[in-house]
Amino acid sequence: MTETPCTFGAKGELFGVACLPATPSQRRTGLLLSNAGLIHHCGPQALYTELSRRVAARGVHALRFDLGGIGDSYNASQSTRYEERAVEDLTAAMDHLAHSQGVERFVLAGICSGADDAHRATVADPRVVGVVQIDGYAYPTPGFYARHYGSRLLDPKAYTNRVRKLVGGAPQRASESAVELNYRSFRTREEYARDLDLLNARNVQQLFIYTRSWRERCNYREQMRDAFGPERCHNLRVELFPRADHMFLTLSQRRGLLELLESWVAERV
Amino acid sequence: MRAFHFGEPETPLYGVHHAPPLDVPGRRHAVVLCYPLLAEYMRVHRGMVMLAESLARSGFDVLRFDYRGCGDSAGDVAEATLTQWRQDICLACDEIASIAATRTVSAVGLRGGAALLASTQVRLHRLVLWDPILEGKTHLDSWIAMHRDMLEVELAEPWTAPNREEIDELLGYPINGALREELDALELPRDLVARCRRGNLVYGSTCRPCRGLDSDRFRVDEVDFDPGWDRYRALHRFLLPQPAIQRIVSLFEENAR
Repeated sequence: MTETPCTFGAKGELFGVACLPATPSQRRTGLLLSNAGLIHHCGPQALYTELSRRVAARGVHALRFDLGGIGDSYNASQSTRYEERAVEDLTAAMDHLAHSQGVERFVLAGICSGADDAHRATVADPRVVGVVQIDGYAYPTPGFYARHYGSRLLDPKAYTNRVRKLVGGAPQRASESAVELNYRSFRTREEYARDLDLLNARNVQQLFIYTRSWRERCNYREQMRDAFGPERCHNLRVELFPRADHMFLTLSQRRGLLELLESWVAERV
Repeated sequence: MRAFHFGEPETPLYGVHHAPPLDVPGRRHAVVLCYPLLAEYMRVHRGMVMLAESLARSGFDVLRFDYRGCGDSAGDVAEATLTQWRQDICLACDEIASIAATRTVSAVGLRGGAALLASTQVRLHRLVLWDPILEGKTHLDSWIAMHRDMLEVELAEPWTAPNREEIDELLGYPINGALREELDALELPRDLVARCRRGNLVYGSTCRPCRGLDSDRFRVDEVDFDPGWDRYRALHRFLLPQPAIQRIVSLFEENAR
């Protein structure tokens, strides 16, 4: 395995580190890891660095990189919307691995806003054969609401928070525990259903991972299947990490995530 | 900006050289930036890029790099020690001196990077300590408290910190026994002012001021920013500390006149 810093994009404005396998897989496959929010290309606590090295040992070409304007990359795109720029940058990253390493098929992975970016680029580019979304899209169902409100009925803290709110105080740590939701733009349920149809037609495999921090969006494993039906979700695997936070800051959870990702990506080769 | 690997071939370090732009006369003066350690590294990356770019625009050759096992450098962070990271700082100083073809090398260290830098024997033209860790033991205590907050706030898991000797992970990073002992013993050297030719300490308004350091050769400056180093929630907040960056760049510019 060798690691090579690289620049790419129309003006060489994008920066990444390519992790190249000593023995590439027969079907040259690339894993692209783009930013989780504003965290630079190493990922949270260097999660992307470790994942890149692990999958490279399994024959996968990995590229961890910064989208324009984040980390070590500059923003040279004419697009004004972040969503469009991110897809342009992910496409440029695929082009780079295709031209420099002969990679023809890709798996995209992202955490948080990186998951949203990975989904949009997967829809846009037929070279993508797999996508991993960590704390990405989720849509509420009756089962979600039952668990959401049911757990609150049994939680004494919910009552004390309610009383505090009524008397004008702040709820106990609730505002601190929530992951910021308001800076991401989600596909509507109808849009996402159309996306799923398109990805199924291409047989794109999807892995959805939800942490405890995302329980306000997804709180049970079958939620996507209930939201869109089993037919639409036959290429979609869901795993819950109920004891992990958004950034996987405990080592046992991080190890579990890395093992899952490594094996899932290797299966796509 | 040029990224590359340097140091020992078995465990190459990742570095990024920011050269002065072509239309700016170079000063033949190199500056090494030393990142904070472990959990604080991620928060400051963009801020360090901004500092490197600002210094380069002022004519300095700047090298920022990742310690062994961290960021994009090779190695396993689970086996990392402060002794190795001190060696990495020395390697980085040699590397930028060679690249910039100069003997004038200065360094800026932030937080744990400042404490490490201050305790190396590398001969620097100017030493800038930015919000340095004054006592590693207190620093480790604050990480332990933040780890507990993380478990309670994010995961609703009450946590009683085990004995210090049994702590093996904090805020997403493994902590081995040697590293823990070295962190506990880390402090700014007592003879820092005496052996420093030109030194500066720049600290944010909420950091504990360092007394006894201000002297003819070692200037202490307060700048207005609140990094919230000891707050768990601030761990996810990215620092773009313009006042501190401007102050540090002006320190170098003033000195070079």
